[in-house]
Amino acid sequence: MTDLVAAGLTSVGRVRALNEDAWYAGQHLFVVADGMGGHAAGDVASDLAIRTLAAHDRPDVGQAALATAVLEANAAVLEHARVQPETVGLGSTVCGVARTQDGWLVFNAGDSRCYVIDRGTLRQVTVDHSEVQEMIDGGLLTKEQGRVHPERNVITRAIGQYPPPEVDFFVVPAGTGVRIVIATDGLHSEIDDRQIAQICTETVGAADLAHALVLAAEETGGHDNITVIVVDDLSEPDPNERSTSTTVPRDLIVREVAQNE
Amino acid sequence: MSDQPSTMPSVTYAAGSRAACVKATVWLLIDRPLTDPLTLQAWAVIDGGGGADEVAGLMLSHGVGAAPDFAIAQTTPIGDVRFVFRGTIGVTGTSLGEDFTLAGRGILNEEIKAGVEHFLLAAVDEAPLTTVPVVAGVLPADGLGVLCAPANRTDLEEGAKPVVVSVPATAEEATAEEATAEEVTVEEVTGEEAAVEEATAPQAPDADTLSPDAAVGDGPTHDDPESLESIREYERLFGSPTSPVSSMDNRSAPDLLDQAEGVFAPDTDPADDQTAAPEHFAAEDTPDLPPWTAPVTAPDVVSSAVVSAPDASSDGFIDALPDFFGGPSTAAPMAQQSLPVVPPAPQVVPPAPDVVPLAPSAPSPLPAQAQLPTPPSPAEAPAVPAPQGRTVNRAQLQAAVPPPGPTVWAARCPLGHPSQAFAADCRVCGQPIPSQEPAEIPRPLLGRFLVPGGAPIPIDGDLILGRDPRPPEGGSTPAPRLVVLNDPRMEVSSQHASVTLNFWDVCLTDLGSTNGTEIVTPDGRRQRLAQHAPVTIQPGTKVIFAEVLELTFEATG
Repeated sequence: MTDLVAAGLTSVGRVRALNEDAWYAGQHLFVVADGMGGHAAGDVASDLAIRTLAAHDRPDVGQAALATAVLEANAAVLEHARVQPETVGLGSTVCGVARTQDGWLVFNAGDSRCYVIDRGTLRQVTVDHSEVQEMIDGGLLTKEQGRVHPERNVITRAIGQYPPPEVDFFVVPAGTGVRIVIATDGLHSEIDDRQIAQICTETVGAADLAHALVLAAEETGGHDNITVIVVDDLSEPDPNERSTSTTVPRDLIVREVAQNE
Repeated sequence: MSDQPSTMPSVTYAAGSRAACVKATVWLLIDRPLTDPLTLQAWAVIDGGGGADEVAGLMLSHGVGAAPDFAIAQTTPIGDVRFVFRGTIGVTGTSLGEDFTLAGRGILNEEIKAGVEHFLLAAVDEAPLTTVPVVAGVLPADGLGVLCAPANRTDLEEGAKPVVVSVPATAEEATAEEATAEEVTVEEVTGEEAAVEEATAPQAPDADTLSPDAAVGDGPTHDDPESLESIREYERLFGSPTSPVSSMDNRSAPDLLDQAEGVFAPDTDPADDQTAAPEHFAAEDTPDLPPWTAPVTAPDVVSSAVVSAPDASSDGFIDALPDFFGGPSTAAPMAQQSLPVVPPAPQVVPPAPDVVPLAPSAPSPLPAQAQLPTPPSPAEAPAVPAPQGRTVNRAQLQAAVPPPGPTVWAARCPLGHPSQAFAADCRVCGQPIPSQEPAEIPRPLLGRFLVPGGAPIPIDGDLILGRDPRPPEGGSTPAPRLVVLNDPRMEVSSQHASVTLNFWDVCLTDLGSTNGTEIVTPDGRRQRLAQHAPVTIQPGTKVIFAEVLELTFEATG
């Protein structure tokens, strides 16, 4: 049996008047959504996305089911724009994790992010779907330059587009002590990964961590809405399971960290 | 049939083994697979502009015995919907507030309905959930749902006015088949008053049908009364933001309680406290959908755990923002589809040319004081990206910038400015451009002319500048934009100079002006242009018209 403790927190930030973020922390599914769109439709888009996905909160939801759920959310947002044409252009990012038998199934479309902290190491699991990320991939920018680039707000995939966005999936090994942070870009556009890692390793409780991260982003400027979900796996370590499940992931993580550096 | 209603119905379909054709105001569901020759012929007919008559003719063209079951719907010029159907494919829907069902009998059936709100083409004994929006095409489907004229539906909901069956002048032009339609229409109209009363009281959506359980199939875990109860209990303790997960240990719950109080009362304005209001689903978010449309919004599904922003007053920050997605359309609500719509290229002849006036008492030699700002070019708006930090989808930006224009091969500098492929330095900021694979992009806005004291003139296409510019004889596509240089002393010629764009080059041509055109290159050399000889000008070049007006060419990114 897995014992999970989840905490989520959203803040409008210090500049915006409207919070267009939405989030859902359920039993097996945890999602954030960062809405966008002209004329105050962003909150509607993120809402639609979250509600559609939340209907799929069940044990061991598979990748296919999640992909379908995202398609459903996409259709829902498109339909909203069709019924209310003044909201055309509304959309939302989605980023989340689902607990499955194989581990954490991470899914993402847009520039919200999922981080995993395991044994004191922070790793960004998702890859942003943004123009800046494309420039970083092309070697034109470093990650730090990308964080302050003027076009960092241009994303390349989102819910509410046609054709529907391709959704990235990642599997993160589950295990006792694994901590997952899902956040909208209001967090990582304000503070860099080093600061996030420091706060994540210094803070014990999930709710404390969510608060600390949001507060840090607010204090840095809070230019955008900030939403953070923290999921802590507090399962009692099972000696048998541990021996098999830690060996593989550590190799994986070490290798991927090395790739990132 | 050429008349199109001012609003476009929205169409959704349920994937299946039969085939459907969707085009503008004609919808067909045919009991044949997608790859059947008859299906493809039907699509060819519909795609070619054919309507119900042509399709019905095609269906029966191999004899009655070989004809498939099908149903076709088409909006008539006066806004009614005409159904032609046969066999097991029928129609269910709502018109004038009343449900109707049309099932085929005999060889071929026809029915015309007025005030149709929505209808579903499907096999008579099936009611597939149509979930996926479609604009046009031929697709494998078992059901086709069409939501007509949302304006009418809104009126119904508000009870403001009933469905109006318009009897326009074109009624006389109705074809022979439509004569029967008029009878139907009259019947419906006489019954309208009764129908209105029902219509003004919109039917509450069937809770069972609209619950996501029915739509999704698998019941969400909240069905479990135990888990629902635990969530409620948890909410009572902690507020909704923190969600418990099964078998949370006893130690962490009180911890969380303590933390939650600290966490969820951040030192922000109470109005900004997102966590204070767990209930957030606005009623208007749940549209009144026909029963076969899979609901995607169900207020009671996730409200226990979802938290999002409270509704901010709409006349705040957001309204002050420029609308960079093309602006809201108030009239003709369904005219704009949700899919990216390519706006017409801005280079079409504008209704009024830009005016760059000179001061009436222009002192020589280079007074060049323009007073009236030039109206902003349509191309300038998309070139301005979203306000800082506001997330936008690139697809939307690309939809906003007219793509059908010419494309160029580009490389980007570290700041992201596009420049000519393989150029050494950025044409905008001058930074060295890293070695990279060039990409073909729609030509960016190459630059603008700075007007002393006036608004800049975007160089968004070919321009003709002069005191009284006219489009060139013979015409060209796209037509050049006309920029009026207002010179009361008549020193600027009426057709003074033109600007043409050639890939990355901005070419200036003197059109045989009386007092000539000069350029001052960025390195300070002054040069008089020969008449009718194009010269490529570099960013930073000053262009002097008749020695009285100086414009500076500035590159933009």
